[in-house]
Parts: sequence; C-alpha cells; structure tokens
Amino acid sequence: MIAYVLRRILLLVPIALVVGTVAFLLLHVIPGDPAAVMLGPEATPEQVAALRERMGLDEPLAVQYPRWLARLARLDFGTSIFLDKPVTEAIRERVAPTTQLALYALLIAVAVGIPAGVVAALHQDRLLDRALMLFAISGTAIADFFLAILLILLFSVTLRWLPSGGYVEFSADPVGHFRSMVLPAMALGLSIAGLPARLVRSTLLEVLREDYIRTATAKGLDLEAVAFRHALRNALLPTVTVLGYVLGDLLGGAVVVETVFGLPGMGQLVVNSIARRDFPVIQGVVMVFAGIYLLCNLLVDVLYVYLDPRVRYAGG
Amino acid sequence: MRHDQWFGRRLDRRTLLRLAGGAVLAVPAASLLAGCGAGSDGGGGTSVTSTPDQATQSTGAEPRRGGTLRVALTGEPPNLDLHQTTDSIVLLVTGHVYETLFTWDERYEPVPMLAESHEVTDGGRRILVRLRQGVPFHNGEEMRAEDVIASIERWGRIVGLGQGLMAVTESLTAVDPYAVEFRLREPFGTFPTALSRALQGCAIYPKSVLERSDDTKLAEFVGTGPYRFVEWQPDRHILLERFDGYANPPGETNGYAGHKGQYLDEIEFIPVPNEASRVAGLRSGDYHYLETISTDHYPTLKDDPAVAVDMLPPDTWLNIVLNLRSPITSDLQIRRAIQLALDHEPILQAAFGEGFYELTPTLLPGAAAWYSDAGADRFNPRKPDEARRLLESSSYDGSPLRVLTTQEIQQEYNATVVFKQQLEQVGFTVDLQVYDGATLSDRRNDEEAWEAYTALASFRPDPVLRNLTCSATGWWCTPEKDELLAQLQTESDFEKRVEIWAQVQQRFYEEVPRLKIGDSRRILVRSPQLQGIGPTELQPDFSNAWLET
Repeated sequence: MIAYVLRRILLLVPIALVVGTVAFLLLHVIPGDPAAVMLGPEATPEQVAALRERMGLDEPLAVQYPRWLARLARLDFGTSIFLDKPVTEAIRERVAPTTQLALYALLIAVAVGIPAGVVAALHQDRLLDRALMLFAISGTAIADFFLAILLILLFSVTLRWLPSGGYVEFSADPVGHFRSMVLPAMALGLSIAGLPARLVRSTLLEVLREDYIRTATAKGLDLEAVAFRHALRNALLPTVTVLGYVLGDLLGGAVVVETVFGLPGMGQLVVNSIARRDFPVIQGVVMVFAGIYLLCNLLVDVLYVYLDPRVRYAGG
Repeated sequence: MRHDQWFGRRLDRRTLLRLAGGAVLAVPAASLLAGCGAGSDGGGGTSVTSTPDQATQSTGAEPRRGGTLRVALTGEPPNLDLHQTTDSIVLLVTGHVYETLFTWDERYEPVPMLAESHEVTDGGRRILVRLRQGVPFHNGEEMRAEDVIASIERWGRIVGLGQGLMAVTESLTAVDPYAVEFRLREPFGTFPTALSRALQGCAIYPKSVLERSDDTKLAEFVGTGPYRFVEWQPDRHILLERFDGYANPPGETNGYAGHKGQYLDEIEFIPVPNEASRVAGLRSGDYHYLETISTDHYPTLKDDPAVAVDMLPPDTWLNIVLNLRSPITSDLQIRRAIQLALDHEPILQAAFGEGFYELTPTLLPGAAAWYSDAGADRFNPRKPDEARRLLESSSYDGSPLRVLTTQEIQQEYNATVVFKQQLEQVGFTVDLQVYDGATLSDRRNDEEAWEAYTALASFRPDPVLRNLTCSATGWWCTPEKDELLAQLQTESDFEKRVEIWAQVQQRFYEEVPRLKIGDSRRILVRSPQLQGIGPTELQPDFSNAWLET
C-alpha cells in the first residue's frame, strides 16, 4: 500500500511537467501580449513595441522556457505582470474563496443529491421519482452561469434577500460571509447535485435487490429502515468515489460562477489573467489546478482501498 | 469670441441635425423620449435626458455629505498610472486622484487646474506656466515646479503627444518653485490642450515618487486630487477616500474645473465583469453607478424605479479602420469602392439599436466647436452599383478581405457582421476573423494580418487628441495630411485651427483611410440616490456627486 502510494506520488512529477510544458507552449503560441492590453485600445504599434521591450517580453521562447523550468523546480512561478507580486502570493490570496465555494457547493450537492436519490429509489417509477430526477437532471443541464443569473434575479433583485455579488471574509463577518456565498454555492452545487442523485438512486436500487436485503426484509424490518441502515451504506461507496472526481467539475464551474458573482477566487484570477495575457499567473494557476486534480484522484484511489477491503492493487 | 463661435456652431449643428439627416432620427427619438417621460411621471426613477447638463446636474436638492459611492467597473484596470494607458477605465478611477496642469470647462475649453496661469511670449517660443501655491500631494509634500518638470518629462517619454511637445522643447526649467518655463524651437499652439485631462494625460506626480518609479511602473499612486488612493485589492475593489487637505481650485464648478464639493466620504470601484451581474447589482441596490452598459438594457431598465437612466448625447463614433499597407486596401480605388458600398444605417442599427445613433460626418462628435461638414458628400453615399463598377475596374483579384473583430465588444461585432454582408453584395470576398480582445489588439498591430477592423472611437475635445498620425494603426501616411496635423499642433488661433481641421476631415473622406459610420449615444445608468455627477465625456467626475438618503 505504502509503496503504491509512493509510486503514484512519484508519477505526479512527469505528469505535472507535461501539463506545465503544454500550457507554457500554448500560451506562447496564441497571439496577444500583455503590453498591448496594458496600453489600451488606442495605443499605436510603436508604443506597444516600446513597452514590450521595457518589460522584457520580447525575449525568445528558448530563453524563457529553461528559465521557467528552473523556477518551477523551486516551486517559484515567477512574478505577475499586472499584479506586481509573486504568482504564489497571488494564488495564496485567492485560495480561500475558491476552496470555500467548492466546499459549500459540494455540501449543497450532497445535501440535495443524496436524499433526492434515496427518495427517488424508494419511490421507483412513481411520480415523485420522475419529478426528483427531472429536477436533478435540470440542475445539471442548465448552464451554471444561467442558473446563477436566475438566482440573482430571484434572491437579489426581486426579493432583495441576498447580495448580488462580492465577497466577505469569514473572519471579518461570518454572517456576511455566508450571505455572500449562498447564491454562488447554490449555483455551483445545484449544477452538480444531479450526479450524486442519479448515482445514489441507481446503486440503491441495485443494492435493494441483493439477498441480504431480502433477508432483512423477511425478518420483518420495514423498507425505510433497511434502506437507511443496510443498503445506503453500501450504495454510497461509488458515490464517494465519484464525488472525488467531481472536484474537477467544481473547479471548472468555479471559474464561471466566480466571474458572475465577482468572487476574488482562483477562477476569476485565471479568467482575468487570460484576458490580459498575464502568462506567469496563468501558468501558475494551471499548475495548481492540475496538482489539485491529480492529488484528488490519488486520494480517491487510496480511499477506495480503505473503504472497500476487497480492492487490492498489484504490488500493493 | 470663442464662446460666441461655440454657440453659433452648436446652433448650426443642431439645425443641421434637425433639418437634414436628423429628421429621420427625430421621430423615433422623440417618441422614445415622450414614452420615457411618461414612465418617469408614473412614479419610476427613470429620467431620460438629451443633454449632459440635464443628465448630470442636481435635482435641486441640497448636496448631502457622507456615504460610500459604489461604482461597478467592467473589469480590472491594467494599472493606475494615467501616463501609461489609453484604457478609459484608468481615467475613470484616477481622474479623482490625479490632476493635470489644465482641464476642461463645460464648453471643453482648456482652463487652468494646477496651473494658475500661463503666458506665451517670444512669438510662441517661450511659455511660462505659473503654478498654484499651497497645493499638497496626498503624501503631504507641496506641489512645486520640480514635480511638474519630472512629470512632464516622464509623460514626454511615454505618450505620443508628450513626445511631440518634448521634440520641440529646447529647455524646460524651474524659474522659481512655482513657475515652469518652456523654451521652444517652434510654437506649440495647443499647449494647454496637450496638458489637460485626457486618456494618457499628463498627471502631475510628486518627484519623490517618480524617483522610485520607472517608465513602465509607478511606485505609488499619489496625486493632488480631491480623493486619495487607499487600497487596490485586485478583483475585489479599489478604494478612494476624501482627501481632507485638498486645495480646492478657485472659481465655481465649471465642467471638470473649479470647486469640488467632495461630498462623498469614499468611492469604491468594484470590478464586475459580467454585464448581467452589473445590472442586477444596480437593481438590487448593491451599486450606485455602472461604468458602461449596453443600450440593449434600456427597455428593461427605463421602467425600473430602482434605476435612473440618462441618455447622453452622441460623443463616440463607430469607425472601420482600413489597412493602407495591405496589398488590397492600399489601392485607393478599392477603398473608394468600400466607401460607396456602404449603407450606414443598418450597420448602426445592428450596433446600437434604433434611437441610439446619429448620422453626422464630424470626426469629433460631442465637441460642437469642431463640427464640420467637410467631405459630407462622401459620407454614407449608399451607391452599391457604382461601388460594383469601380471594383470591377480596379486591381481587386477576389482575394479575401480579412476583417477582424471581437465578440467582447458586442456593438463592434454586430456592426462588422453587417459590414461584411454589404461588402459581399458588391463583389468583395470577406474573411471575418473573430478573436478575443487581447488577440485582436495584437493582430491589428501587425500590418500583414488584416485589411479592416471595426472600432469605437471615444470622445476627444480637440483634434490634436485624436490620433490620425502616420503611426496610428491603419498607417494613413500622406505628406499633405501630416503637414495639416503639424499645423494643428503649432497654430494657436482657434478660427484657423477649425479651418485646418476641416481640411483634415475633407482628406479623410477623400483618401478613405477609415470609414466613419456614425455616432453612438450612450446611456448612463445609476441609482436614483446618486446626484450631481459632473461631465461624462472624459469619464464621469464624482468630485461634486452625493448620495441622497
């Protein structure tokens, strides 16, 4: 087991290197440069060229790439062109809103998705089942930015219960923090709640047909007790696995949701950095996102071994 | 004399608009205004006005001191250094922090701001600028000649107009702590204009800050303005607060000049890139002012009691820039064929919507004193048959015209789609290339990458601030035009300058370096609480604004 984990960790290094190199090359192949963005729409080509030179952006790729690699080895992503601070610091400042958003969204997805799946399974093929599944699929089908706007129109513009955007730190004002995060977390959470709902429904239905469930029912236990006490625990295993992978969707969704709600997280950082061609920041965020994704996959695989003793890995 | 001329010309322009092409627009515009007036009478917060004065002056209520103004920006400014960028968002924020030697009164004439006066002697070759005394910077230092010289020298290295001024400057010296002397090789008639509030304007920074800065980066954001910079948390906000030590300029408020009320305690600029979120935030009371908003929102916002909508007079124009270094569009006959092919109204309707545009040939909409009809016979000719004949007899071999655009500015994109259709109808092959904003900026600097692109040209109060030089993208280089532009810079007599500018405009329509399609009206969307916004053409000034309870 330990050898397996160590091998997987070592494998992360070449994967991260490939991801980083591809991102680096892509960024330098696409047109657009920070000097032109900085100078604004009415700058002349001469002004842009002069600023490029002053900023040292006109160096060839062959010079920039080895320097970037050497820095990467020290986990130094360089300095942001626009923010005028180290990329690691810029990312560190943005980690909290994104992590909180992902966490709250995951909680909403679980809190909505799992009960919906259980209720749907217990009412299989009846009206409630169909209604819940329609709700779950709608959440997944509607684009999260559209859902976000609908939520803003209802809760901010019409009812005026919650702010339409902005971010309040938990330490500064816990109530304000939750008020500022409810709508973004709902927009993101509801858009992925369909996945656990459908998964729990199908696996629960499968488990409910197992012999040991029949035995439990035959012993006189009612269906709800059997479902919650015996079946659900087993049905949740694949759901836990999938929720780990859902993190990728959460990060992708966070990029959009943060932009709509003006949350100063990593999603907005990367979107803005792409628009202004802040290469060091884009590379840094891509590396961090890739790292999170790889670590989550590793964690899920390890957790799987822990949760299901029947699973064994070659050499483990 | 100039005031009389201004009013005279303004009348001419209005008469022209009403009697000629304006008649077409007057009917829908009037019905729109009438309809909106009714909405406002119905108890809504909407006020639709047709002049900036009405739009931005107080409702007669007494200004109230206090409160934080929350302004939703379309994005994050690239920096807060006015010298550095032509991005208007920077002027919106820093217009409250930095001041220039001169600024604009309500008639867009340059008047002293940090300068007390200026005198021109020796046939225009010596200019003495006397500075106001006792003007503190936000860091406590007093503004003196050395700060002004250091700022002008830096601006003169970075900005095109500044480079023009420095090229004719023999020496720039401090005569005493409050007077700066320019010795010039040749007259520079537009001196106060060049040093007035503008995009890439010559903000006066403390010398001590510039010593720690370079030409790409400003070490600190310190000025003499009515609000001082507090903090910039990227993607969260930029916060300004009232500068209690502010040295108010003499005289009553007049345009960007004169007394500043400083009623607001703080001004908070919040980046909200998503337009739907910006609008929702204003409707829910989270913001008081939206930086830019598409006129598409007008029908939904005009009846919302939580929103006030002011319709501004046209001050921006839509132009299609042609590449005079491309093998195709370097041919004047082909450019004329493009000019003849176009029907401007459908393009403007697609870009701005009915009622939000005007058809005038002037290249400086909003600056009435500079209005000219020169070249008007070639404006919006709508002669596709003639265009087709001209194209057939030209060197055009059917190669695709590469037309660049971006969907990030929807108005430009919509206009470009109609432009493409109109060109195809007369026999052009068009390759429409859609990019993101940053790529577009990059592409259009490459003279081999395109034949045309659409761009919105923002307000300029004086033609020297409109870059039509040979170095501007499109590369319109003819010795006669360049000579006229040089004369515009050196000539100080206003009448003569207006004549010279009319000649430039005439050449613009004859040589077709760009195509002026029409002027756009913007809407200013704010909370009904927000009152007393100053002029808006060179970005709104909140120095005299207040929030009603």
